[in-house]
Amino acid sequence: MIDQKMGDYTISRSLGKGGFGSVWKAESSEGRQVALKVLHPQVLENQKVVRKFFHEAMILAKLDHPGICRLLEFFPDGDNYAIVMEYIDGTELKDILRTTGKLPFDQGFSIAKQTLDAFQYAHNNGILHRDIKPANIMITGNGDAKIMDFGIAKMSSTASHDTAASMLSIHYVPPERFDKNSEVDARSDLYSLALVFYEIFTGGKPFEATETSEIMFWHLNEIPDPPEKYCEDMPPHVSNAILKALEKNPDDRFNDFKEFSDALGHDDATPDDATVIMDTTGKAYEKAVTAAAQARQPQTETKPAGKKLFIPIVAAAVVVLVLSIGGYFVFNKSGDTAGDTATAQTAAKPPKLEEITHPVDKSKMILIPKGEFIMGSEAYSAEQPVQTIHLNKYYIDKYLVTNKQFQKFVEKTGYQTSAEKNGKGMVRIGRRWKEVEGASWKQPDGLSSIDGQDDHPVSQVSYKDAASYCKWAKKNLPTEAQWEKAARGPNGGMFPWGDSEPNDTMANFDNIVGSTTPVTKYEKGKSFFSIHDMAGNVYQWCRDWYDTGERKPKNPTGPKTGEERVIKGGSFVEGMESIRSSNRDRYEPSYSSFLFGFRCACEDL
Amino acid sequence: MVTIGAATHIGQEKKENQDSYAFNQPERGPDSAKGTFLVLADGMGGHSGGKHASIIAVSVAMAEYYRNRSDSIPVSLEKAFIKANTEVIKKSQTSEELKDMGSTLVAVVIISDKMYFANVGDSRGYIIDDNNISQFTEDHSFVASLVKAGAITEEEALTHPERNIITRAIGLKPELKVDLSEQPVILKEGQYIILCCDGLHGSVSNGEIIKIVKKYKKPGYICEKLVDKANENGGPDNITVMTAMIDNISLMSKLKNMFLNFTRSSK
Repeated sequence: MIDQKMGDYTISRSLGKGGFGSVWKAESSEGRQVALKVLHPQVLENQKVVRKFFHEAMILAKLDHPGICRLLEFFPDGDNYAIVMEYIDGTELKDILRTTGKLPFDQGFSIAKQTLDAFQYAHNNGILHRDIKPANIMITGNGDAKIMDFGIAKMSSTASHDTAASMLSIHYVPPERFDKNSEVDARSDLYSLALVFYEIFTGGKPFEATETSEIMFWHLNEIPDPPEKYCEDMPPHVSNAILKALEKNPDDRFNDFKEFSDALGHDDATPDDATVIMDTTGKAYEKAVTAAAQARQPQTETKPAGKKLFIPIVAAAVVVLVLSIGGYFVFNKSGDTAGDTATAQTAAKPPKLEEITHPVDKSKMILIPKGEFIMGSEAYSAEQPVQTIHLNKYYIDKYLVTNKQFQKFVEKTGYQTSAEKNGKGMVRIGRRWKEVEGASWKQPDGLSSIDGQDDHPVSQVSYKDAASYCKWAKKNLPTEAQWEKAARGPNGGMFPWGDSEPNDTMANFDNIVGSTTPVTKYEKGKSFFSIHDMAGNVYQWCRDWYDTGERKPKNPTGPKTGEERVIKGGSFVEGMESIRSSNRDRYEPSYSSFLFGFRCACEDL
Repeated sequence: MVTIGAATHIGQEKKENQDSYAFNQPERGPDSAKGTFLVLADGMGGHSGGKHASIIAVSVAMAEYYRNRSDSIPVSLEKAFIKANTEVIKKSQTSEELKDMGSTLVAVVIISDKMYFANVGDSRGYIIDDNNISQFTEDHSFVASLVKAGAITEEEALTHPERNIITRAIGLKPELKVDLSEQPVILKEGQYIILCCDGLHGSVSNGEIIKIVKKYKKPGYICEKLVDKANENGGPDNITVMTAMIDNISLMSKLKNMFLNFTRSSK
């Protein structure tokens, strides 16, 4: 493997192997040092595991905290899959404990506080670690703790007898893990972390057992000695906090890492604006924490996770593709200003709707009556200006075009999609987009088949594919104005349901589910006109060529020519900001992505 | 006298048979002093790693067992397993594709009227005596440990989603703890010893095993029919079975056993 290339990376040396694969130090073409984890072929044989990780990787890639080893990208390379992680120059806590025994209290306390901070941040973002142990905590020369392998370790524990990686280390496993019916949550990670702290402060585990069943018995039944017994510098409240985190019943533990951290108290030895940490050579480093505090900003925010996730998600989704071609989106950190422009949704009565079944593709369509609506927002220049637009009446699909409907179209016409012709389609992997071979509407992410997902929206379709379907069905794609009116209703709500923030009952967004969902699922998130999935699930192609600025006040259809077509609605990976109904993006007509689908409209039947 | 039969099958769902087995029944020469040796391994690891691991484990264990002339049978068995572990690890370091291979390994030695066993992993050894079946090996598996720790019942273990996870195997770590029979098991005429991988014991119930043993009687048939039954029941894994029928215990041994039983019951 040495000197071999994998993706854009050249492998320089082995860093060891784990349950899920081998780890290599590698260098990117820009000279960046990374740790490249190559997944075992036998792990990859379990499609379910890979699929699950694949979705989680997208979330993992968003974690940006100084205490967490970053996942940079995740890409296929021939038969293998590679996970690219930040390269950490440090020593595993496991090795430090093996050579030094327990750590000096202050040093251990600093590591404990740092790790709790990092885990709380990940927890706020909906990620559990599930395999916390000293081998997964790296200590840098500055004494900084970095948590490794979020989500990855889990892959090996779900593997079966077919893989030698299935050897479980049960030293740090919480008792509820032994009950297959009990749910594992943050309190389980908390237990494992408390065992790591126990070892940091006392130099040993709280049990002497070596046999698997005896260790299990200990986790299930035995009460640990207070760690202060083996650590004379430990204040009683720290000892008690560790014991509380080691309670057998998760309900008796802290609810989250922050509570645990608060119970440990503050490190009085450290000044307010600087942290003094000893490195392994005993040399003291004074480290200004201003930068770290800024970097740690996300976990100190009290806003809901959806809002916090906005910047990384949008940035990741759009930066590569949009900024590089001169896009001029300005990302709004708060996400609040969009509300300034939209007239508050008045408590309009739901309209009496005319619903028909389209004769060709049997889709349910809603008649949107002629009249005015408010289009655009002040939030971003691309969405400006806010205008009152008049539209004639039109019909629009109540639901997104499904895999089943698209299948019928393909069967009738023998149509080949853009991705099928190319043999590949765009898939977002970690923070980057990649063309993945084999990705098509039948296998949108290139890995998982749509079998059993008849009622999910078709995805991995280009504008051309969507328009071809519409032509066959004797319909059309909605204009951007038609789409936006169907989403926002007459009064220009920020979201299809009004101005309130989305949650997981209204829309499939922000990777809460991590994949597409049935088109009828989000009844609570339907629009004023009862149209479903106008926020999230998949982006939807519109008929218009992309343009900005003032629109025609009546039945606008966009410019006559252009290079890119408009897409609307956000997708299952985007955060709250991108699923606003005025949000817009644009791509070339032959661009096919696993996040893109469509619905049809027509003026007449 | 021991009659031995064996059968192996890929099963219904796997792409490759990664199980291996071997036996040796030396009738004369120096090996005969070390008795009859039966060994079975269930390999793990993709890209044929599992197959390599189980073949190495079986062949090295057998060769090492007979090579060692001076040690007692349990010590020879332990050394054979440790050597198998070393050789599998050595092989795994020669190729990227083999580096995480491993294997279960279970072996029995039958010498006169005594049986010794050694085990690592979740392949099993049973003794069947008329309508009774007893497992003399202990599974080194996640669920077996859960049962032992009192977290779940044996019934729950049968359907536990993590019943495939093993906690000990050949070829993973340089240090290896081998389960050995502390005392030899005294055999009786008409008993059957069965070694099998989880492809059998995970698919065929103890009741079904007894039924087949009683119906088909000859070790070769028994093994074939047990494999068929596992396949009938879905065959989710490779299936390997070895059967040894104890069909003749020497008169001396019989007398010795009678004497031992007499003295034990007199205590």
